[in-house]
Amino acid sequence: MSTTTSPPGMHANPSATPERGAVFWPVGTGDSTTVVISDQIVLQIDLHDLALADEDDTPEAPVVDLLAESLPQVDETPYLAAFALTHADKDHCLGFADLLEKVHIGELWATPRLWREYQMDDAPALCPDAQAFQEEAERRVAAVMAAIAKGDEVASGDRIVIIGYDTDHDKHAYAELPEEFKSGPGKTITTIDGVDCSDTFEAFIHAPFADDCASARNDTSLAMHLTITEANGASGRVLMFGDLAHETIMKVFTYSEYYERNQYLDYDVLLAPHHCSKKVMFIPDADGKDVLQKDVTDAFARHANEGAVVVCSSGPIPAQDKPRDNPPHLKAYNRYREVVDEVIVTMSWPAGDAVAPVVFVVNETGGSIVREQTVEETAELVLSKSLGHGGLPATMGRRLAVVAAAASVASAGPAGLSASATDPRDGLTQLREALSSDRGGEQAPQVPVGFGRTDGRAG
Amino acid sequence: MTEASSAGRLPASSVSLTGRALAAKQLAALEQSTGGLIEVLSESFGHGSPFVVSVETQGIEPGPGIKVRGRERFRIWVGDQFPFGYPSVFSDHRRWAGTPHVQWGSFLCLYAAGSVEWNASDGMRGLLDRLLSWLEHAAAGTLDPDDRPLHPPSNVVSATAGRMIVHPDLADRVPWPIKAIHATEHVDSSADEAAQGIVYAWSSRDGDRFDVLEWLSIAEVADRVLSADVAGVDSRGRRLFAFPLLMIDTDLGWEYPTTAKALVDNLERAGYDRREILEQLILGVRINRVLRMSEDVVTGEVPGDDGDTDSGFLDSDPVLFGLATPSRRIDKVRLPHIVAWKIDGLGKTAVGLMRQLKGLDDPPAELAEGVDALAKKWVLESKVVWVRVHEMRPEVTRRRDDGTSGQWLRERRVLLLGAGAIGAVVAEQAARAGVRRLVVVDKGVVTPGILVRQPFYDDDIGAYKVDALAERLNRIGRHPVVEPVVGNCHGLFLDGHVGGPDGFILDVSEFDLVIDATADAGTRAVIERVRAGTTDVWPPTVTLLLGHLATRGLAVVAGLGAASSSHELLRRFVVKGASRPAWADFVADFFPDPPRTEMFFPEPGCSEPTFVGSASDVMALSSALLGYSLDALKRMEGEATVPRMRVVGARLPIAAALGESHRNGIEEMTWADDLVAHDRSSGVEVRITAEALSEMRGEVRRGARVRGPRVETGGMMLGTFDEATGTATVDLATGPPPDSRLSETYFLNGVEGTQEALDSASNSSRGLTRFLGLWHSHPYGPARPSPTDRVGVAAITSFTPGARRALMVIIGGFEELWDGWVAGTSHGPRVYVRLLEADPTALRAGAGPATGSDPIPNARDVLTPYQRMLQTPPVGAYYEGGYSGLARTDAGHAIEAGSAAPAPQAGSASGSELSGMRRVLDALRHPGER
Repeated sequence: MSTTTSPPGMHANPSATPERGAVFWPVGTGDSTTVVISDQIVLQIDLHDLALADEDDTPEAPVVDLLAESLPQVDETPYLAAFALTHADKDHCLGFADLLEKVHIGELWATPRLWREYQMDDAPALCPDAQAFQEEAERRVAAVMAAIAKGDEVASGDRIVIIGYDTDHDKHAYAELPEEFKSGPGKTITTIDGVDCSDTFEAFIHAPFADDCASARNDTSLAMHLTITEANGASGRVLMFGDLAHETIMKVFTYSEYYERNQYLDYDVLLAPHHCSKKVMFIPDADGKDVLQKDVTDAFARHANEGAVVVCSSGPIPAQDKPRDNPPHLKAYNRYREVVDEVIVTMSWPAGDAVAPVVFVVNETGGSIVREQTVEETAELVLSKSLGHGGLPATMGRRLAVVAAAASVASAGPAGLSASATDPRDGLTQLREALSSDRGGEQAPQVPVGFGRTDGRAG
Repeated sequence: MTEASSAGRLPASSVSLTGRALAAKQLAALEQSTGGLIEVLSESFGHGSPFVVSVETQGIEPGPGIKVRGRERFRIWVGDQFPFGYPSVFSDHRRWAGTPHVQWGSFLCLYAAGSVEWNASDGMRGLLDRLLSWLEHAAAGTLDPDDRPLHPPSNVVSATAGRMIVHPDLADRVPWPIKAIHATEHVDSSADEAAQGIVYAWSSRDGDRFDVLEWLSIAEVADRVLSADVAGVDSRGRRLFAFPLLMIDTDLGWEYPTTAKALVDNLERAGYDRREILEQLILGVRINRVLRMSEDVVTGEVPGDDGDTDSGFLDSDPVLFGLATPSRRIDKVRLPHIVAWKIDGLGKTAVGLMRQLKGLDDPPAELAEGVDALAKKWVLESKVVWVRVHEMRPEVTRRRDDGTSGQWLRERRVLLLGAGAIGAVVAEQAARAGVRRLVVVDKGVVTPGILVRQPFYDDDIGAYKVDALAERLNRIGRHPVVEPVVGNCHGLFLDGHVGGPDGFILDVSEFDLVIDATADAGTRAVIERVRAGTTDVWPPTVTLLLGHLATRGLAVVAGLGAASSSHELLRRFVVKGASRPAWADFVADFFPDPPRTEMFFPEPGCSEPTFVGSASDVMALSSALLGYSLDALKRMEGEATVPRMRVVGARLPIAAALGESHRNGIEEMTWADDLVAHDRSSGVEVRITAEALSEMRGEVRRGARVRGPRVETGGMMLGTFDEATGTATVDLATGPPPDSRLSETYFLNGVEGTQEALDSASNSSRGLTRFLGLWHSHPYGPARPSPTDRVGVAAITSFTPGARRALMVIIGGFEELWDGWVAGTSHGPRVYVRLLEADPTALRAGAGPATGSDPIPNARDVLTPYQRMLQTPPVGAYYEGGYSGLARTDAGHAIEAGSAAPAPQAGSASGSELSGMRRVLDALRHPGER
């Protein structure tokens, strides 16, 4: 039982402080999600350290350094229990090499995709961090095989889980790994870096599908459903699809609904696939017009728990979509707004000009998003003390609070990225005014206009 | 040639788009102009698919109603007729299913009355505006404020299941409290064991139409079908049957189940066992079999010889299951909403088999199981076929003529004379207004020519109009109200009956209204005559007339107890109206002077002349006149001071357009009640109009002021004798001419200026008001003639040119009565009337026409000495006369006469030479006292 009193204005929760949750870092259009399973067990899914981005005008806080600082210390080294890479695009792995250097990563979750790409003639270029990831993955596969050959326990730091099947499985070394080092669609993971977390954590693997192994890289993304469970059995659920697009997402829904695994589809947080891309629910027709795919928006609606939110890990939503723009897309954002009560864009949360991390906590009543003020005050409280010492807030457990605080520091930089000036009027008022002015006749011309016959002019 | 064939249609080449193309264009423009606050999405761009439109809704205040997200998506179906018809809007989800004004799960009822609320010009923009308002109200939970009627639940009815008309109120039998409820107080559909009850709907059927006539309890319906004189058919041969109706204090939501299983599950959740439904259905089938058997007995048709075989006839009744839930709300009261499920096919078979099974003492187990399985299969597999229910229950319907003057006719008994251009229109309107009884009298038959403007049909040609009319109008309601009487209206009133021994016998007291639509002067006169003296039993009487071009009409209304009706009132209308600009066009139209010589004969030589007029004009005027008359009757009933006699003139707007009048609309003329007195000797009814009586009173007051309250006064009366109706009407009364001599005991009516006054009045009234006689007063005395008075009248009749009769009116009354009348605080004075016919002998003896300059000496020549003595003014104080009433031309005289009058010795100047004469007079006046 906590002996601390809640500071004024803070989320006064009489029940136990939530220990578990997830932090979605505001890292531009890219993913960096930290899942806190316990004080010691932290799972990082993707990484996008904008400090390393070569965009000169956006000097960024060093995500890797902040993350490292917030991690538990094991043998005086920051310890990350596992790192999962959904796919090897830069906006998902930027900073991995740095992380690997500064942090002890107990276990890697990798898909077979990179092995295939290394053999493809026309494979898209791999960024250095992706290459670093692949090298580390291959090292671990070898290390695991070696340990097994020697009959040794596979050590933390060498562990790897290959998630998914590739039709060319047999060509690669990972094929020889024992089953405990492999996972795939329809399977769950509850042990992380050799620690059984089944009471508090379950990752259900939805994708990649073997059928898609040769598709574009995005289509081979790792898709997962995370269930984070409190001591009393209440849980929070996060559904994430990496950068998958419509077809594969629908395959996920179709399969899991067919096998009656609704519990692995229902979500409190849906991480909008592919940074709020319209490709999730629109397919161009022969004329290039985007055709809405109601099946997927219906599925999102069907599996949204009461109060569910959609998190878009992206820059601010543009005021208007332009052809061939990269995500995020207004078109997709609006579709999510039709499905859930709240859609959070990491780079404009809680407001366009003041960015804070999105913190999802699980307490005795289930999962919920921590509101802005609470996050801010938690971060201040954490930062005012030396990290890792006592006197932590009651709003969330130590590790979660520290990660949230670290992410808050990371958020301090990105402010100003906001592209769309926020209109102080709500949407309804704007729409009403727009409808009214569409009727016309309310305003006289604003500029002088001349009329005349040119043939009457001299000259 | 497509161009020719497209006349009247929207040209294909029109620059304005319609239908989906226009909607798409408007939506695209809105998407652009709103900067994406509205997005047009699509799942397919094919024709016939809806627009999928996403609308920014951030900012709608959350409330107790529906939950609106920051963005909402809708499916908008646009028909080919857009923008003339409005689109249908569905939510693109079912989250709002079951909330008010959301039907079929996602259909949004945006317009309560689209035909007035939809603005075609505003197009999709207006639709979206409306949608936003709808969403705001729906979110706030204010879409259905509790002062408005609750929108009844929707159920998808089957086109083939038939229609049901529900007549009787049910509210007094429902098992829930009928009380005011609040909007927020929703019926809890999850309530356990909701209060419930069963009634049987006693109904008739006619093809696929079912009429619920009565609600009966199970005991009542059993008593009825088991009674000895049970009838299986009604008077019109419609079969009677019954079906159970479950009343249950719960709500099945806003949409009724479409499958039998869902319905039965719903009812079970509310505590109504499915076994019970079957029991009631079986009981219903049994009741109906008894009814059919009773019919067999009567008709001798051959039924199945044992009741248990599946005789088609015995089981020919529909199997219906009614359901009433408290889903209506009117004036904050929860009223039953009635639906009915028609059970056919498998269900009917199952119910039939179960009935037979119950009849067996010891049914084999496998048979029972089989039937049970069949019943289960039926419930599991069948759809609910909902019958279309048309409500006539007064408790849930409101008459469309509620509160109008036309409602005066409801439940009234009406005698309508004439079934022509006016009458046939009036008859239909009376039937629709809900008269209890409408007797239409007309002797005419339908001819081809009248079809132009009278509501008859080619098939009717040759038939009596009243028969054709009754046949048609008796189909308006369920019960016939129109009784045709073929006959002549004159005869009806004069003989009291028409149509021989089995004909119609008239008793006007059986009616609440007589409408004369004959446009026949004779009929008006007959009514005037028959009414005279019996106004206490006569209902209000209305006469309707159309002008010769059907641009003007007249309605004459004689309310309950009014002394005069249309015949007389039309005369007064001319008397008064001839000199009034507002009425001039009516007088010229209806009473042209000289009479119109060019008559319109539609079938020359073979028909009566009639007026020219189109169907629209004729019907418009007839309707307007009837409406006015009913309004007048309503006002008369409401307030005693509303004049009971009136004429209204109505002009069609076209009259002004044709330059026939500078005035538009309605003119109205009213009369307060006449003072009616009867002359027993001649049988004539004398009507002193309120105006004439008021003139008499004015003169009495003036006389009292200038000559003394006990001095007699009097003057001339103008008006008319009507032998046809046996009446004399006093239109006007004058004061004493200047050469009159007045005292407390004698009134010598002078002659000065009387002719001028008479000529003036007669001319302005086209001769309709003439010299009628003389009046004088007996202040504080009896309204009874003295011998002098009698002689006086005789003298008038003898020596007034052309007057073969004259009316003498004496007004009197003792102390308080007289004072009251003079002061205007009590009703009329005592009145004596006497019509005196000229004595032919006296006329013969006369020395020729009187000159009028000095009638008294001439009169004296033919009077007996005794009469002459009586005509000699007795001794007394005398005053001079002077006009009032017609004083406009003689005002100076009146003042002069008045000022000259003061006589200090009035009443006391009894010179000895006159005293003998007075004694004689006294002796004559009081013969018994000698």
